Amino acid sequence: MEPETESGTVEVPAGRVLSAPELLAARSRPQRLPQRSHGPKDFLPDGSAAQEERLRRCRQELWQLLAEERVERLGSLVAAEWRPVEGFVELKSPAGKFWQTMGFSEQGRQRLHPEEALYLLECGSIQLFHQDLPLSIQEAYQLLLTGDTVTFLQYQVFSHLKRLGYVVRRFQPSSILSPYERQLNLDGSAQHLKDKNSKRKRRSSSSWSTNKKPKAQENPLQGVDGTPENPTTSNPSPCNQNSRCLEEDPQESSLVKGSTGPFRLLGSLEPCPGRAREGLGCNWENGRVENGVRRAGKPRWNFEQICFPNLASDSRHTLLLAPAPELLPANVAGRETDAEDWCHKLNQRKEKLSKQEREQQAEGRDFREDVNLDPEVLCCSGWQEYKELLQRRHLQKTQSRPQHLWDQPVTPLLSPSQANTPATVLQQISVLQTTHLDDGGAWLLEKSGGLEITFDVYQADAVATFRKNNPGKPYARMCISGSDEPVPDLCTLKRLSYQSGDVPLIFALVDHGDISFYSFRDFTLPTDLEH
Amino acid sequence: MLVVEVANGRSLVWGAEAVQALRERLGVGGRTVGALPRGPRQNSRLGLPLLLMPEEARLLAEIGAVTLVSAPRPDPRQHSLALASFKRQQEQGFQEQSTLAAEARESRRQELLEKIAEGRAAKKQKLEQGAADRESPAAGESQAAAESQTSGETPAARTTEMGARPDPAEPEEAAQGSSSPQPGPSNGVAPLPRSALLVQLATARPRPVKARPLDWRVQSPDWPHAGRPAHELRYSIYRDLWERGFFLSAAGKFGGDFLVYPGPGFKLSTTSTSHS
Repeated sequence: MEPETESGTVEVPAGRVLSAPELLAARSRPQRLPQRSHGPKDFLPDGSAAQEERLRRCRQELWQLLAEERVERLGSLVAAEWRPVEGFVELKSPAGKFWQTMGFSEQGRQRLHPEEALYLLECGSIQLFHQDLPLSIQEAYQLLLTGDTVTFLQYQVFSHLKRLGYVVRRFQPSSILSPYERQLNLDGSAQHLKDKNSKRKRRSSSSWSTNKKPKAQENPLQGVDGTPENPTTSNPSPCNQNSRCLEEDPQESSLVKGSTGPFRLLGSLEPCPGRAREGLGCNWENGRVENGVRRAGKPRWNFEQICFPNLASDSRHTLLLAPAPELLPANVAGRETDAEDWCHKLNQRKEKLSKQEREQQAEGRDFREDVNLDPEVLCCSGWQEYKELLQRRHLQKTQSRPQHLWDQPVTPLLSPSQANTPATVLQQISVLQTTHLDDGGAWLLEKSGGLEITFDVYQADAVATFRKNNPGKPYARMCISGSDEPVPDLCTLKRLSYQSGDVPLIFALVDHGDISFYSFRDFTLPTDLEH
Repeated sequence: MLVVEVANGRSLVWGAEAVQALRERLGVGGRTVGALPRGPRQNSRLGLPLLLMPEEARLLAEIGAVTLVSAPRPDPRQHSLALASFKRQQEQGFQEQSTLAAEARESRRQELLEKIAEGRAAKKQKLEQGAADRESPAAGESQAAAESQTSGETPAARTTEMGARPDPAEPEEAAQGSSSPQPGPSNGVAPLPRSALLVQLATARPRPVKARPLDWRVQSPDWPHAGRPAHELRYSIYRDLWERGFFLSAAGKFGGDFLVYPGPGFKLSTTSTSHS
């Protein structure tokens, strides 16, 4: 039908466009879906007319359903515009009911992520414009689902879950507790603080997100590249500024712009996240488009990346540079200091122990066996004699053991003294240790790349009480992968599982439209109780 | 000759007639992965686009039933033209819809007029009966006079509306008629409020566009499967089974490669999955 033109291109025919009467007719079509099957499912073709008729009717229905176009009243559509550079969709008219669970506010405007916008477009709630031209669903798929925003697979999982009724938000790495906070069980107290501190401006930082980053706005953080520098001299400088970061600072908006100058990173391309997130209620000039979550009262610092100057006696860096002026409150001047003489003044006074402490120290000394006080050792005049003494002692200990057991190349696993109860026996002979999936995950956190957590999923019944600014703990976290990608290795699993914390992690595997969900569960094998 | 756009190794079919042709004529299934316009918030039945497996796309291209093209990027040169035509069509559609709405309103009113007339006649009967009993002919006459006045007005309004109807325009893209107005008091042609305009959210691209054909024998960013041993193996199996008349679809949920059916629309009691 479409001949090839001389330039070797093929014309792709246009999609169906409805005329006015057709639009009118579309409004009066039935709203309910027809029943799925007409009678029991057929297993084998038996050539009967009835089966033929059934199949034909099924097929007719399917074609009719597929051919229907979306027709909506202009007044019920929310106008939205796709911004390719920034990677989000901006709403031009006020949002509807979907605003409760989708979208984010930035600079006073209502915005949607590309996957949310596409889902709403498919539902017929919004009209998406690009350069003043409304986008068809096909064009929207093409433009919005590029590699650096949301991939096609991720969108498939997103829309699948949304259609089931879940609330799906982008993964919030800032809601992950750092290992230290987890140790302190800080989330319990933070909840309490949150309610009180909603008005106070506290700067919040985030542990570094390796999430999809839209194409560069001037992200001031990413502009600061680690220029190779002498580590000893530059060590104090970021640290000092970071330590200043901990103070509450009203001049937050200027912070971001000023951070490029005196800010130096050491060898790592990840900027100090202390500067990363602007404070609450101020402008989000961040290039990274997150959900705009305000974390009131819960400062988030990635302590692995904040380095404090080491003023201890082992490796002293006492030259502290002047802090950046924009970090300090007004009328406070910072200057550079040499902390050398201050350090000398430390630990000058003799520590006066209380009587109890002195007794404890003495006791400890008594229990410690000093090898030199052993009379037999004193007789030894050299190392050789000492080693012979040790060997003699060892032989004495082992003399009681039957030789036919213990002198063979293969020795028993237990000595009689070790086998008190079945439990200890099992413990001794166990080859496998109990381990949890997120063991050792803390030190894997800095590795990135490969599979990442994509979405936070909240349950459908929480919709009525769902607050975007304070969503709470998600029901599950989702990692998405295609069936032709390799199975994630243990390193990735540990890292992701640790990142997810106490929220279950689910892996969604997409195979040509089929989505399967997998998760790993920790379980412990029963052990014998001591009798 | 059907045209299927391919992007990043994924082939999507956006036309319902194309899907029908593929399934009925060519025995290639694909899978619907989009939202169904009639029911976008359920998962049991999905709608366009149809996702084709790479094996399906390649088979269709090999037998010459389909031309694979690289998904065309939006052309900025065409944009201003498209924008102008869209605005024009929207205005035209607006006019059309207003007229259609007015017509619909009018025909509704006509129907109701008859009913109104019937109702009034019945009421008049009752009143007259009552009046005859209670001797008040004046009330009945004034009522009749009032009725004749209103019925006299409406034909006049009708004629003005008829005159204002322009010629019906060709099918267009966006804003067109509304069917929601209630039969209100008879005025002239009330312009349709903008918010009542009906708009089509097009599924497929509503204008034709040029695209470059894709060679599935060569590896490219849009077709990374060429030459991959896994793909070649799957394809040879797919082709063989297809030639024998089976209908295949993806079997990710069952852990296999393909689900094999005797024909479209059937289900197997024991699914035969092929593993390669």
